[in-house]
Formats: sequence, structure tokens, C-alpha cells
Amino acid sequence: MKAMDGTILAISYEINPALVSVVLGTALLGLATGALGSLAVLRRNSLLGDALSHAAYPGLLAGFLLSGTKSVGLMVLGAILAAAMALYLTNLLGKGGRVRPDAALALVMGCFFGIAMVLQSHLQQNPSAAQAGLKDYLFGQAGLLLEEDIPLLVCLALLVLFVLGWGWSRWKIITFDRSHALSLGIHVPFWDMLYSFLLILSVVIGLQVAGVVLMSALLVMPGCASRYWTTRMSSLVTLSGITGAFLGIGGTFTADELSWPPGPTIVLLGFIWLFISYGAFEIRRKKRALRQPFSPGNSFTPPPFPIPGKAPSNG
Amino acid sequence: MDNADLQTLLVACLGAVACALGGAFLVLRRLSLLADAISHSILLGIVVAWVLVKDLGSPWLLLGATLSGVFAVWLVEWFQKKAGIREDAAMGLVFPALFSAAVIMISQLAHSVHLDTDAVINGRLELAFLDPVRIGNTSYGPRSAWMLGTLVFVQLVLITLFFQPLRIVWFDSAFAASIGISPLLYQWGVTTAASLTCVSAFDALGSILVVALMVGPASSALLWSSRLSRVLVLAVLFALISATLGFFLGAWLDVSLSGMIAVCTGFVFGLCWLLAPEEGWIAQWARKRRQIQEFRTGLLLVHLRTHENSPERHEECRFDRLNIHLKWPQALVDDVAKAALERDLVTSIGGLLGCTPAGRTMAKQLVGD
Repeated sequence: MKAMDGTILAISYEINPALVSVVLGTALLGLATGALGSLAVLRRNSLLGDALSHAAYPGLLAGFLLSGTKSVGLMVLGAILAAAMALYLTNLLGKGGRVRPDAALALVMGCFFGIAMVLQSHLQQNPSAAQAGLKDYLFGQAGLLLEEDIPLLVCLALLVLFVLGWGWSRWKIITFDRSHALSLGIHVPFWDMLYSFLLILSVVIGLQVAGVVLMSALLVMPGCASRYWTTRMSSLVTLSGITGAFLGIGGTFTADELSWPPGPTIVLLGFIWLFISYGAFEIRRKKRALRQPFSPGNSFTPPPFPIPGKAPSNG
Repeated sequence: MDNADLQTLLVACLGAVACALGGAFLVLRRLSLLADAISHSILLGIVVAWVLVKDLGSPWLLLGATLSGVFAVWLVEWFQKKAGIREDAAMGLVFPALFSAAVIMISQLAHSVHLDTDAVINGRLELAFLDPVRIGNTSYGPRSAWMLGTLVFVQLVLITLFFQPLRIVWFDSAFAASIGISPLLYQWGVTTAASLTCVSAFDALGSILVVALMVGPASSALLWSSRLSRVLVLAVLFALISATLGFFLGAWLDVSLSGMIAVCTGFVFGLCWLLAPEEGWIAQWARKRRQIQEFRTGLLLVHLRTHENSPERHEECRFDRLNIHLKWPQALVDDVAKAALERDLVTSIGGLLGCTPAGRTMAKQLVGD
């Protein structure tokens, strides 16, 4: 069904049919990571995505090393396990205040990637035809997205949206006020785990498209840009998802037009969109400041977060 | 171990020391991830400088790379201060953007430049000795060793000269400003130094190893001491250990040296995390055990003292009834009472426990009367 839709679309707009699955794929991935990433931005652990994508890479290689072929199942499993281990280690080290959390994150990321380099050099010594595409995971090769990959990405996007919608009120409370969530009897560790699981899943799936280095941008950029347009969490998550999807589509088309690598193009487009959003925000802020002169509250403050029960301070 | 191996080891050690010195200051300011941001951003500077001068060996590439590292930090600050984006998100935005720009430029120039993005990430430690400094016909060791050596020397001189103001700025910038030391000057000085370190080191070590070496030794050192001078010395020491260990392991297993050094940095950190004298996991576990034991002894003493002269003493203070009154399992009572007897805090007369004067004093202190 999907494939047929794709062909029809391709014919009617005279687009390279191979591009359709790429566009669909990046849009779906952008949707999932954008929605999920806006939560990461609010939770102040935007760089977790970066660390996880670096940490997943050795797992991917280990999966390949074990199976000897590019069997996607084992590689993805390895990547998920490695990322989960990195996350556990980061939390363990950062706990108790003996090691700074940022240092723990950077260190775990560096060491896991060191393992990846060791595995990679080991693989390079006995090269085989099967490992040819492994390096694509480093910088991403969205162009390699095939029609077969689309169902997986549809599942990912649906899963993310479903889980976010299912526990919406809980996500909201946990994001803004953890202790309140605890006092209400919400099982915060469970939701944290669920969140980490989704993050790991989308990072691992996204590796092929965006690559290790640029994965974090897919998570952070839509959230940050949308933050300039809205102060409601529901609209923030929706808007980030849509932004992510459109960045995926726009980036892929731009990349195809200019024959640029798609992953970096998406990121660059996101960066431009961020500046546009910031500019629009500044203009609206100035207008608002003109309407209400002499108020000390008009000096710049970051866009206020909508804390439940408390009116935003700036408008 | 031949000459090439020795040269490689020298480059690895100098790189490790250079990174550890700069990294210690970043870690102390909770800016570890800035190392990550800088090490990814310098690629853009290199590419732009290359486009301008078209020469891979040119010192302008170094300058461009350093500037783009500083630019990345400036951009992160700008996002934070002016655009209201939090630090973590700002970093997560800036370095992928700069890195993307660099990757796109490289992909467009691919036919005319041998800038391998893979080498940027992995480094070429194994090949460092192939690029010696030559004067006439004699070669004077690898170029990267000279560069990193100079960097280490300059860092050491600067740290020694400006140790006092640097320390004041780093731990209390408000106070520093009030006594006329400009925090901004020192912060940007350290940022530039960190950027320069990344630039000099990443050719040999690769951008990820730079992150590991900047953060790992400094974090390990911070588990051992909280004095800036000692932290710096220890960080250098741990960096040297990691580099040497990684070099030999990597050479033995015949795998990527810089990857192995990164792994060893983590290994050394793991050991420190377990074994450090006060902050180590084992030391903390032992301290916790000791505190629990002390608390239980205190509880026993307070119980004994409370009932010391009361009529129900024969019931409350009997050794074989304590498990009921303290609500402890018998094994625990045995344990605590035995320890207390050994420390002369408790006497036992025919199964009836009582406080010694020392035990009485302790119980008194605990209750606070």
C-alpha cells in the first residue's frame, strides 16, 4: 500500500522514485526525534542523545563482528545494548556528586567511542565485502534508505507518538516538577526508563540516516526552534514533531538538488530555521515591549516555561 | 621497540599531557562537554582555511581551526546569554551545525582535497612518525611531537605564571572581579588554550580521543584531591599512564592506538572511581559500614544507659533479651555487643550488659545531655 502511494506520488510530481522513500524516511525520523527531543530540551539533557549515539556505535560494530554479516537484527540489538549500558554507566558515575554529570557523560562517550575505534581497526585488518557500508553509520547515509526501512520508521514514529500521548499528563508533571510527580505517586523511574528506551531506540534507528555526530542535532534543533514559538508543552511537542518532519523533507530535497550529503543538510537547515525562529521571537518581543512601556519585566528574560498553577511572568 | 614506536609513544604521551592540562580547567568549571563541542567544531575552521590558502601544511589551518573552536564556544555563550537557550541544548545545537557545514564543504571539495573526515574522528597516531621535522637532511622527530611539546611547555609556563589569578577566577569569579582580575580575560584565555590543544592534538589523536583525554584524567584526579595544584599533577600522571598503557595494549593487539588509549583512560578512571582513598567507591562503602556500626553501637549504649538504674534493668539489659527490645536480629546483637565489649564501652556480668564510664560518656554525648 505504502509503496503504491509512493509510486503514484513519484509519477505525479516527477520525482526520482528512489527519493520518495528517503523523503518519507527522514520525515518520519524527524517527526519521532523532534517530538522526543523537545522533551530532552525541557529536561535539560539535550546532550544525552549525542552521548547515546556515540555509545551505540561500538555495539553496532560488535554485532557485526559477532554475526560476520550485516545482519540488521544483531547490529541493532548490539547498538541498543551498548547505548543502554552507556546510559546506566553515566547515571551510576554521575550519582552521588563525586563525578560531575557532564564529565561522566563526556567520559563514557569518549570511552565507548574508543572501543568503537578499536573494533573498527580490528575489522579493517581482515576486510570483507560485507563491512563496506559500516562507515555510513558514522556520518549517515540517508540516501540508502530503502522502501523496506519505511515500515520500521513508521513503527518508531507511531510508538513515540503513542507513548507520549498515552502518558501525557504524567510526562508533563515529570518534566516540570519531579518531586511533585513523586508526591502524586507517579512511578518516576518507570517513566524515565520508558523515555530512555524511546531515546535509545530512535537514536539507534536514526544512526543510519543522520550518523553518529549529527544525531543530537535532530533531537535538539526542532525542540529549541519550537521553543521560540510557544510556551505550552503540548504545542511545543507537536510543533517540534512537525518541524522535525519538515526539516527531514526539506533537507532531503535540498540535498538532492545540490547533491550535498543529506544528514548534514538537514542539520544546517535546522540551524537556519532556529535563527529564523529566534528572529521572529525577537520581533514579537520588541513589539510587546513597545505596547507596554516602562515595565521592568520587559528586559529580556528567556521564554518562560509554563509552570502549572503559575502564570508566565512575561506576557 | 624501535625508533618509530618510541616516536609514536612520545606523541601519544605529549598529546595526553596537553589535553589533561587544558581539560582539568574545563572539568572544574563543569564544561567537559565543551571539549566535545570544540573538537567537532574545529573541522570547519580547517576546511575554511584550506579553501582560502589551498595548502594542507599551512599554519593558517591551525589558526583557522583554533578560531573556529573559540567561535563555537562564543556561539554557545551567545545562545545561552542572548537567545535564552540552556547550555546543554546550546552545545547540542552548535557543534552539529558547524560540523555539518564542514562535512558539506568537504563533500563538495572531495575531488580536490585529501581531507578525510574519518581521519578527523579517528586520528592518525600510527602515522605520526612519517611526518618528521627536517632541517637539511637530518630529521628531528615527528612534527606533531614538536607541536604538542611546545603546547605542553607553553601551557605549563602560563599555568605557573598565572596560577594564583587563574585559581581565584576559576573558583570564585565574582571575588576575582572585585579585586580587579578580569574573569572574562582568563576564561577566554583558557578557552583559546583548550581550542588550541584540540587543534594540535586531534591530527594525531582524533577528536573523540581528545574528549576522552581532556575529561578522563582530570575527573580521575578530582577523585583523589581537591587542591588545584595536586589535581593538575595527578591529571598529568593519569594521562601519561593511560597513554602508555593504551600504546602497549594497542600495539600488542594490533588495533587502533588512539582508540585503545581512550579505552585505557576510561579504565584508569574506573580504577580511580573504585579505589580512590576518600571518594572511591570502596572507601565510601567502608565509611558507610563504619558509620552504620558506630550508629548501632551508639544505639546500644543509649539503651543500656537509659535503663541503667531502673528496676526493669534485669529485663531490658539482658544480653539474650536485647533482640526483642532493640528489635534487632540476634546475630546483629551478637555482632554489635561483641564489638562494643572489645572497645571497652560495655561490660558484661553474667549475661547482663552495662555501660563502662567510656560508654556512658559516649551515650551522653549522643543524647546530648
